Amino acid sequence: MNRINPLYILALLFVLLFYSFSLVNTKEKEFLGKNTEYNNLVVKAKEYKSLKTNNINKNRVISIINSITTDSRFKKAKIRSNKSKNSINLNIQTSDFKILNKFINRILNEKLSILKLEIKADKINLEIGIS
Amino acid sequence: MFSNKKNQKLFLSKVSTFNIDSKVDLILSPEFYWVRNFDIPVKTKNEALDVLPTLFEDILPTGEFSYHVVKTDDKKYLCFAYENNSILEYIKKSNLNLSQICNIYFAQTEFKDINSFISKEDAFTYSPEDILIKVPKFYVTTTLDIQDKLKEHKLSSNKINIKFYSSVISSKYIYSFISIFAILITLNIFKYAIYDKNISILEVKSAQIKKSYKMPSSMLETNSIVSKMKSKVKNATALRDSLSYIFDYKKGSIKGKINKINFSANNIKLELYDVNYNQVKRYLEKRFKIVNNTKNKNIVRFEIKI
Repeated sequence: MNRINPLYILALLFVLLFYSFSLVNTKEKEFLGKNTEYNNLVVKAKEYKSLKTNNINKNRVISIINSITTDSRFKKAKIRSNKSKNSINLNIQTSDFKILNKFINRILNEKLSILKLEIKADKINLEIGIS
Repeated sequence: MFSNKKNQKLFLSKVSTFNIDSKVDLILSPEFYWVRNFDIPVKTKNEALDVLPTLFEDILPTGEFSYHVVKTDDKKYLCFAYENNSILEYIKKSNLNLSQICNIYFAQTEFKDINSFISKEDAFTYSPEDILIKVPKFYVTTTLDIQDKLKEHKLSSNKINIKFYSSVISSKYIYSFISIFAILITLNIFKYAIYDKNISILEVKSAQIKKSYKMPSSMLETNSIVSKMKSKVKNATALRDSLSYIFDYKKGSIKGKINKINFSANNIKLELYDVNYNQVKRYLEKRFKIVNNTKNKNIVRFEIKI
């Protein structure tokens, strides 16, 4: 041991210290990055869950449309629905303005993805997305 | 033992010069050290070493000294003080390379069985206090040259720890820095390990969240789905709000009625009957961008972008 100049050991330790600081710094940055990524993921997960809950799937859309077509308030009107691969066409025809008004209010209050809508004095045509 | 047999033994004085390439053991002449017998009330050599700087304080000239202790009796110690750098300097002057040196001894502890001897122009003798000293050659009667004796001389176990380097900075300071650096390196290793562990924990937690929320494995896919769903919600809300605004047109004191509303691809086409064209236009412009508009007698058509 007495043959090794401690200045060499000091120099070696200095290099090691510098290297260790560099490694720790890199690891710290990696940790902070992962932490930010994790926090973003938590926010995104909550958003995803909320949107997924509110998002209407195909079966739910069909169920809503069925409940609308069988709604007793629209009994006097002529309602037709036509289902295709990605959408459902719904048509109501009546000369009663109040029924049309109730119908459009019902449609707009449901969480439906309306692709097309045509409102006339005696009928309403709409296309609802189901995918 | 093996090294003692193999290495050549040399007596080093301040005038010595050698022409040897092999490994050597050096015996230092009294010129290189100060030696005293001290009664020190301590049990171990290490404890005695601690007090030596104080005991030698009045004896030594100014300089940086190292110390060596040989226990002779209970609480009696043979104490040495030497200048490490001075010894290194004379070793180099003697034509020896530091890498050749195996062990170094003080002559004081090596030649107890010889009362006095000569080496070149110098003479050495043990004083009545049993301390080996350099004396004028005429002072001794012996003709024993130590060079002749060295070959068969059996070295003692009292090796000294010479530092084979010289440094302008005191070893004490260097070792303090070494300790500080070592502590900082250790702390950094701990910090690195902690960060590494936390990263693993975050990765596990992320995987758990993805699993519990039934999310796609990649964030790209998740973002795409989220953005698609958001867009749907936004469009639905926009349509609802737009229609609500249009249906409320009477609140803007506009007469007439809506004949037809046609919505497709974010565009709404309106057909109004018996209305004030300018009034309707102003009302719609407050909220929408009017893409197209026509007026034909009492029928007015607007195409707006929501």
